[in-house]
Amino acid sequence: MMSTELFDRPGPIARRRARLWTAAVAVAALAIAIWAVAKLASQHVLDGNNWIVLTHPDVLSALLTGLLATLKVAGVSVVLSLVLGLFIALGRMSKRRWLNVTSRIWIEALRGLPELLLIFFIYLGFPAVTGASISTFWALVAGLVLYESASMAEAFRAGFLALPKGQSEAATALGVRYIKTLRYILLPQVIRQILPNLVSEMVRVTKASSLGFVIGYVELLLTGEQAIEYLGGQYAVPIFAGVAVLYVVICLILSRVSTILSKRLA
Amino acid sequence: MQLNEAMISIRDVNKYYGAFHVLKDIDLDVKRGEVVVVLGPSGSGKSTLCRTINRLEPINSGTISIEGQVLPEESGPLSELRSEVGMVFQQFNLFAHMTVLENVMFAPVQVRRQKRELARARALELLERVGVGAQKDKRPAQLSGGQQQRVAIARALAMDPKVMLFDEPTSSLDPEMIKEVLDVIVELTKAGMTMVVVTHEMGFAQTAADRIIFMAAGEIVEESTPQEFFSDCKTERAREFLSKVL
Repeated sequence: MMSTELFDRPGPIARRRARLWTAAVAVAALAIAIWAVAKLASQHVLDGNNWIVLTHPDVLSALLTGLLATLKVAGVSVVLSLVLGLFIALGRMSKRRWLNVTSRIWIEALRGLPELLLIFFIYLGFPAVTGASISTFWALVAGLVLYESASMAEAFRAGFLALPKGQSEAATALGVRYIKTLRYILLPQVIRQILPNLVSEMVRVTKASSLGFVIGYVELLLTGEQAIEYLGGQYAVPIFAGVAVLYVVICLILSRVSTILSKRLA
Repeated sequence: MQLNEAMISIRDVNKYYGAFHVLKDIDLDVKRGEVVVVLGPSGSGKSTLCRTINRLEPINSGTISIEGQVLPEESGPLSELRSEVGMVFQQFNLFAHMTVLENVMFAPVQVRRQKRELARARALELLERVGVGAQKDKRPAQLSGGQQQRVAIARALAMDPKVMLFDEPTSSLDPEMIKEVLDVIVELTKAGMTMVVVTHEMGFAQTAADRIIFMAAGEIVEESTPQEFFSDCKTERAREFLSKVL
């Protein structure tokens, strides 16, 4: 693989300057860290017996249940918004005017709305309009999918536009129909191209699923919150730290999977 | 000329890009087994003409038929017809994510529903014939331009086309690779393939063509045998063109 250097190699003066700045920033960062730890310790936040709570079976099983609920919402939302996003992207690139215009309105309208607003709209609006009730799970999924489908559509579209036109022309000239051209020629190349974008969208959906707590869907964040309410405020930092670690782990796994996938697809 | 003799028949074809008139009242018949070479300056519409024959470019008026059958309007029958018209592009357009062998097998398996083993055997035979059999498991990006173009020819031949269209097949090749591709095309002319070749290779036009079509500004300006065209062309426009390229 060829690597491109974006900058000239630094000369002796630039190297000295870089060393100086590195040292200065390191000293400052260390000072802030020491101050923060001392402050937390003085508030008894770092006391071992507060953190022991994370090993308690009830807390652990509660957090894992929350994690599962988060993964369920995130998984369903990701799959639905991938499929919907792909169709909207195809519509956006269609020569049929009504399809093109509809998709464009969908994308522009939904990208511009906060997810929280969409979730509220659905959770409160759906029963008001149809008279039927909607579960917190599906209200959350619908809100996330509405927003995310627009982002995914734009990611797909960028991938399609980046492919040389000759790929689909060659397939067309061989008599390959549209669906098969899409399935076998275009999509494999597009997905490989936009995999990093898709993964960051997936990470975003996972994190955005924490918005479920405003409509009372019990996912990871709300589980943590409830545990703290039950156990007491002194456990807030340890439990939120535990929640944070779980979110980070999900994202790490996702990006690891994408690295493996893109190597296999290469 | 008898109707059933014409493999490709182009009648009164006009095409516009917006206000720009790219093809003006084009009339052309290509007989079975005939090799027609289209010459002309850039922007004369020769590539566009080539691409209208399998309707990669739609036309505004006129008719194009292949073996007496007018190009269908509906995508189903149109795809079927395209599968019988091989096309080779200036940029090769091999499927970048597939190996050389998969490139050649793809359409026979997916469009013709051939058995994989059958398609594979035929693909290997064709790759051997164009001289890139040893590259069968490589990706297009690992091949030279000349090799890629020969794979592209094999890919088109795998569909057993009635007609082959070549749209400037050597224009993006390094000079030392032009000959290896032209040799393959010449080989095809000897095998009796009906072909339309858009090219800037005058040597090839002179030796391989049954007929030369000279286009300028969207019109067929001159139509003659290679001998006539290169020794004694009829129009001033063609003379001017030849003085620049020869």
